[in-house]
Amino acid sequence: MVSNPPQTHDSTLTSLQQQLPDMPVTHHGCSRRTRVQLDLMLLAIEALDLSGSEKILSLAHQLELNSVLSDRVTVWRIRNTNPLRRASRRRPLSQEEAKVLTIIICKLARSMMLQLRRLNQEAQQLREQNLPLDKHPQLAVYLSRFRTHFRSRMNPRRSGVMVYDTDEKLDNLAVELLEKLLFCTGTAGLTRFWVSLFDGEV
Amino acid sequence: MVVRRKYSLPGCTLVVEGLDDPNRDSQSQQSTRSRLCVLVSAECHVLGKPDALAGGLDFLDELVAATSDYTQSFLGMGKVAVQSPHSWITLTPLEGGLHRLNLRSPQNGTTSEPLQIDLTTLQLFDLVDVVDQLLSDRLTLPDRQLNLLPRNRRQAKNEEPVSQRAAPLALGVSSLLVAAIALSPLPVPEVEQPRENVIEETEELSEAIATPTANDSPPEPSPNPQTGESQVELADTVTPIQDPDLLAALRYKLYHEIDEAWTTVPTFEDDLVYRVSVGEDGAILGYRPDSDRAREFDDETPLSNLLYLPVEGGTADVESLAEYKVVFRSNGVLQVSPWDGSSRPSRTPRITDVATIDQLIFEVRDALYDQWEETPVFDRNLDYRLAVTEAGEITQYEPLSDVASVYFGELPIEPLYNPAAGVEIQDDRVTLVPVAEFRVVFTPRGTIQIGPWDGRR
Repeated sequence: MVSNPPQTHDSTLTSLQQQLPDMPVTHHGCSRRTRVQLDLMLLAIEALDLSGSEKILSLAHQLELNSVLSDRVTVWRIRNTNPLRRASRRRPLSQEEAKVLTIIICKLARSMMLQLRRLNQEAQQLREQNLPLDKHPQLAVYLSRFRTHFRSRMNPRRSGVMVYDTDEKLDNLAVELLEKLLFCTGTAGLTRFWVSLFDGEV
Repeated sequence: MVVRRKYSLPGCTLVVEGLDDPNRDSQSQQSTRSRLCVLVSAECHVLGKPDALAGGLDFLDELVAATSDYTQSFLGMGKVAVQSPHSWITLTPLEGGLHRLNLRSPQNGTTSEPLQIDLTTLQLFDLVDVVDQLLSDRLTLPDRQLNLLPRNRRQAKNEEPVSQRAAPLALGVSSLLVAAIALSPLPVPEVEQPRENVIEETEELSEAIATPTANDSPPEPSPNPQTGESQVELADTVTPIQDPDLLAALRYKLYHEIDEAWTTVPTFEDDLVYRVSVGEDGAILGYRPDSDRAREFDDETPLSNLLYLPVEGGTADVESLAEYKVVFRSNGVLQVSPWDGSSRPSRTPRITDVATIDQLIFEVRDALYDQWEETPVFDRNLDYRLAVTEAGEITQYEPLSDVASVYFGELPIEPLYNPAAGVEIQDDRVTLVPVAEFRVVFTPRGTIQIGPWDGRR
C-alpha cells in the first residue's frame, strides 16, 4: 500500500547526489548556517550512537561517497568548517561536501528511526508533565553526551556558543536536533533537510 | 474504477479516494496498481484526535502546502510561524514544543470557529511523512509532487498576516519576541544614548580622518596659567610631536581611553571643552578646562582619573607631547581633535596581502552572521564601510547612507566593534594597526554581502 520513495533503494553516488538540487552558493562555499547545522547534526548523531563517527566513514565507503569523504582527517577538516568549533578552519565548505554530509546524516538518522521516535516522544511527555528532561534514562544519556561533545569541541569564545552557556540551553538545542533528525528519517527527509540548509543566505 | 490508497505511520493516516485514468491504454496495466488521477476525497486521521480532517483536492493541496512550508521553516529557522494570509489551513508553533493546526472552513470561514488540532512534533512528522509518501507515489496524483524552495526570513515574515504578528509573543522564542516588538506600531522607545553616541562618534572620527575640516577649528588657545588642573607646564623646551602617524594613533588611543572611562550621564547642558596633553606613549600628562563651565563640571569627566601621575611625585618628565581638544558634549558624544587643528592625520595603514583579505572576508561575514539575530525590519539594502584588522576586529565603521545610520541598531556591527584594536602600543609607542576595508551590505532578506572596499568602488 505504502509506496517506497526512490531514495530507500540502494542508489549510486550520482543518483543520491543528483537528487539534491544545486543551491546558490558563493565562491566562498556554503553559508555559515549550513556549516554549523551540518556539524551539529553529526554531533547529535555521535551523542546517540558512540560509534557514530566510525559509521560516518564506513557509510561513506558503502555509498561510494569516499571520493569526498576519504578518511578521518578529511571528515575532521570538513566538520571544522563549522565556525563555532575550537579548531575551526577558514576553509570553505563546497556544495558537494555539504551534499555528502547531508546524505550521511539522513542515512544515519534513518538507521536510528525507532530510537529517534522514542526519544522524541519521551522528551515531549516529560515536557508536558513539566519534568526535567533527564528523568528518562536514555534521554539523559543522550543529553549528557551531547553536552560533553559540544563543550569539548566548540569554542566558548564565539558568541554562537556563548548562547548555550547552561545545561538547560544545551539540552534544548539537543532536543531540537533530535526533532530535526526525526524529520531526516522521512520519505522526503533527505530533500527536506537539504533545502532547509539554504534559506537565501548566499 | 474507484481507487483507494492509504498512507500510514503510527501517528497519522491519510486515505485518498479517486478515479483512475479513464484514457489509460492497456499496456500500462502491467502494473498491478492503477493510477489514481482524479481525487474525490482525502481524509486525514491523527491518532488520538477525534476530528478527522477531510475534503477534496483543495483541502489536500492546502494540507500539503501548509505542512510542507511549516516543516521547512521548522527545519531551517527553528519554529517560525509561516502563514499565507489566504490559506485556510495553517500551522503555528505553541509553547512546549507543540504545533497547532488550524483549519477554517473555506466556505463560511468568517463565522465558524476554526478547528484546532495540537500536534506533538512526532505527530507533525507523521503527518508530513504521509503527505510526502503521497507526493512521491507516482501512481497517485502524478501531477502533485514535492516542490521545495529555500525559504528565508523575509518570505516567512511577509506571509504572516498583520493580525498574526502578535502571535509570536506566546512562543517563548526570544528572537521572535524581538521581531514582534520591532514590528509593533508602538512608538520607538527613547533612543539609547550609547548607540547614538557610537554612530556620531564614528562619523566624526572618519570624517576627521578624511578631511580635517574648518568647522572643527578649535578656539584660540587660551592659556590660563592659574588653572590648578594643569599638571604640565607647556614649557618651550617640550617639543610638540610632529609624526602624523603617531599623532593619529595617539588621538585614537586618547579617544577610546576617555570614551571607555566616561560612564556617567551628562548633567551639563553646554559642551565642555578641555585641552589635553598626551605623551608619546599615550599617557595623559595634563589637561586644562577651556571654559568656566568646563571647570565647573570637571568632576563629571573622567579626565582627572585618567591623568598620569609619576610615581616619584612631582611633574612628569616629558620630552615631547601632543595636544588635543577634547569635547564632552551634553548629548553624551565625545570628540577628540588636534588642538591646533592643522596637523593632518595620516591614513590608517592598509593590509595588502590578498590571501589575508580573502580570509578576513570570511571571518567578518561569519562573525556578523553569528551576531545577527534580529529579523530585518528595513526594506532596502544597508551599506557600510568597515575597517577590519588582521585579527578580525572591526575598528571603524561608516554607514554609507542615511537609512544605514537609522537602522544601525538593528545590525550586528556594534557588538563586534572594537576600536581599541585599532591601535597597538609597543615600546611605549602607539601605532595604528593596519586594516582592510570592506563594503558590507545587509539585505532585507537577512543576507549579508561583503566584498573588498576598493574592489567595488
